[in-house]
Amino acid sequence: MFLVLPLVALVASAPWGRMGAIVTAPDAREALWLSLWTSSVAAALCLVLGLPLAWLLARADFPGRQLLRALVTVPLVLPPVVAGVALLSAFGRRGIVGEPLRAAFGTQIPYTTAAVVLAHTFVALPFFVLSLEGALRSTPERLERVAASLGADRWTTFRRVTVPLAAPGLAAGLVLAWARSLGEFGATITFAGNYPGTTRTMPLAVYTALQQDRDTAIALSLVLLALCVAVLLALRERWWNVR
Amino acid sequence: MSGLRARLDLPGRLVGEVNAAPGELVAVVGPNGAGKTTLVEAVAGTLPERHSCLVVVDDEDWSALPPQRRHAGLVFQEHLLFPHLDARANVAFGPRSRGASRREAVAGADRWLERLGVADRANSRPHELSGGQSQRVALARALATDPRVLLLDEPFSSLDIAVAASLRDVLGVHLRQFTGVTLMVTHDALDVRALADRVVVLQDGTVVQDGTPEAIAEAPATPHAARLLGLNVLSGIATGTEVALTTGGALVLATPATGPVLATFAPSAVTLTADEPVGSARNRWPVTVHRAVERDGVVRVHLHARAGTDADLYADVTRGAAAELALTQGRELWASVKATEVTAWEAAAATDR
Repeated sequence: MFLVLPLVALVASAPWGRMGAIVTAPDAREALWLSLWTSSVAAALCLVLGLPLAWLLARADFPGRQLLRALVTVPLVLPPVVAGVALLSAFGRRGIVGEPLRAAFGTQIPYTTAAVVLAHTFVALPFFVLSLEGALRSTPERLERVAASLGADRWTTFRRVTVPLAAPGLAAGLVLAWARSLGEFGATITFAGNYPGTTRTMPLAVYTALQQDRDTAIALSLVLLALCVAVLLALRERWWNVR
Repeated sequence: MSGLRARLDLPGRLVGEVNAAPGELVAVVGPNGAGKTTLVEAVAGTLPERHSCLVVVDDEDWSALPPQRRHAGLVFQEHLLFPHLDARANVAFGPRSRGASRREAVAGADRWLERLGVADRANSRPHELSGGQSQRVALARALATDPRVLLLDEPFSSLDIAVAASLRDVLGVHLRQFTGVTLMVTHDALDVRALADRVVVLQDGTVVQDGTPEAIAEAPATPHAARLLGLNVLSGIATGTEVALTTGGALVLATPATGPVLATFAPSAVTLTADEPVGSARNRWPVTVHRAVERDGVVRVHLHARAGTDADLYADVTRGAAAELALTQGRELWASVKATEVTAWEAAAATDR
């Protein structure tokens, strides 16, 4: 009841008459498009960074593995605002990475679209890594040993046995990471600011609209809700088919 | 020396030496925990401590090689097929990994599936295959890499007796053409009898005996080997309760059977008498004592039938009975077995379809 009530209220208070106009307004379309593609890039980055990390955590045996897992989990429990401040300290104008970067190339990360992607990746990566690690752990290691006995080296085994068997977990991890990115607010506003067109993603647009026009905020929230429900349904169907 | 030479030094798990000539099938027997699977893993190179095991195959030292560089084919009790690949892709996996082109690998896979009688299941995923079919595909997958050592870890023990029997026949046919060494872990007397050239007996992590099945049946070093190898096995064609033996003569069963069978009975079920018995035993043959070996108060007698059939038999008698019968080589006696003590395993009639 507690979980469903606010969502029902949201739908009930929607300005259905003006929905079309609000959602197709240039500002809203811009924010939606920005959100969609930055979240997708962040999910892709999670795949690139998270796949080796998850494999290390699930399969390799090295000192400090527990520590690494703890470090991966930190962004999961960290308040997003703190994540934003941390990213600023690293990549900001005076940050330990940001300052040399600016001196060498003149590039500046904070308050750009790149900052949005970085903030998204930072908060979404743990979701992807932990979900994939679980999937990798549940694929039988004996199958990997069979692959080795058939002449497959580590990379071939990983590519042709480990990853395909972990595919459902991998897909789930990507969706989780993507959804977490889509809803990301605190780290984004802290690290990337709230500039229309470059860093104002959907959640920031909702927040901005709420201060002037409640109806717009509700309409945009409904779009996000619909998007999440659609993704969940689409994936559900695929997972059912696999079984 | 070509063939296999394995020297294991894993105290507490397996210590000893196992050798095999090219083309030989060596059965590895022993109770659970004796180290059978450790032996298989040591040769395959999947043990973390592989460096303390010397493995030499056809004069090539495998000891330092990782599993993917050893040419060993593995088949386990559970088929362990890749669930996301169909049967053809499972068999093609090995050749593909060893650098064959996709087309070569697939063509080779189809040939192996054909040879093992599962060509029509090439497009099936493992979960669509029966137990016997899965194990045929697993065998095809292991053989398709052209291994120099074939490692079979209880390959039939999860199958129905009838399915296991038909698969045993198929394996026997292929092993006759196989020039590499086969190590087969088994708990089944019929595997040993039908396939093994030699037997390695393990006990508590030690290789305790190594010899032909006949030599070990005569003087088994462990109770486990005695039970496994001492079993009398006669083959023939059953019609009702009578089996026409391939060694000549007939054997009477209590329970009717049809077609080719393997009839088994324990050495303890064989009664030895000095004169022709007149009791209820339906199966009786005049026999000559070939050898008698005593172990733990039980004398195992290796007999050869003089008439009626041309078979070797084993009988277990007490020390007292042995003395009374004056067991010496060449002594002529009568052996008898009650029909109720004989179990008939219907073999080739079996099918896993």
